[in-house]
Amino acid sequence: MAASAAPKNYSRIGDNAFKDVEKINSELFTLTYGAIVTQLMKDYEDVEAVNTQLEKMGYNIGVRIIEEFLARSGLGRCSDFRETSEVLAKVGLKMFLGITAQVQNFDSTKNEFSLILDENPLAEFVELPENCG
Amino acid sequence: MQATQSGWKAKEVHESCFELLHIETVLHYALTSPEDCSAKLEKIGYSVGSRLVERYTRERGRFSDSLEMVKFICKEIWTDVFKKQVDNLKTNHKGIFVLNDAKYRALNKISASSATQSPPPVPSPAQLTAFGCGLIKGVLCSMGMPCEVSADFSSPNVQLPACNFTIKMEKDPR
Repeated sequence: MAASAAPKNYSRIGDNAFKDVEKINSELFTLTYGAIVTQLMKDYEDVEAVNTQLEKMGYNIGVRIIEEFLARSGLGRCSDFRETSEVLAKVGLKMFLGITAQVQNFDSTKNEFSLILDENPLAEFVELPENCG
Repeated sequence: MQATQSGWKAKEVHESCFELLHIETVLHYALTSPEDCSAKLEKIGYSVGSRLVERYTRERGRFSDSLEMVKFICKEIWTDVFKKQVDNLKTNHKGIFVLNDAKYRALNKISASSATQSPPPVPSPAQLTAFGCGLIKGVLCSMGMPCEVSADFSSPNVQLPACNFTIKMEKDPR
């Protein structure tokens, strides 16, 4: 692998970006998300259908936040998939949700990786029914 | 810091998380079930309002009357959710309150003519204010003050992005 510039300190970039943004209480966000999921469950009554909708919404939101992300982080395009995973885990999640994740199970042959979140603002106060556990 | 005053954890997220989630939800319902879009958004706002006020009153205790509660909505709740206070509050002291937000966040990005366009744009001002109506209703109803809340953004003295939220209490204020 060709050596490029010194490895970037993504954690520091993420922390600095989060420091500067306007923030709201995360519980408000959690409550709103919870209310939306609850309403969607009433609408569709089927977990898979609800998840499909949530994923669509998440996708649309993701497409919209990338501009602000690029502007605030000062990062350019990622040079490889490994970098993408680190940027997502340490800068992206930090800038918007105030949390970081661990990248695990990175598999460059399959273009796959896992993001492990120790805490997730979207899931606070949530108790899953047995069939969803 | 306000968060610790009301006993909340001091965790924060980027304000655009809420904004983006809201607009995405409005679009979802505007496109999938336009006929009851506003009703569903109001229910979501109601749920958030009623749970928010639960957490506030734990620290603060009960409110003495409806005016105090509406003022609380105008200051604390509006600031926590919309990052600004309500700009103007009027009441007839007989159970009707009008909250004026001169620059309602969700209406910031739509054009001034949206209020009168026919057919209305997607999303429409009514759909964009439904959450706010539900929020106010949720706060008041869960504090034992049943009411109806409506939004007005097309009267002569209310131009987008301004919005008037009108509260009609179901019984006389204490």
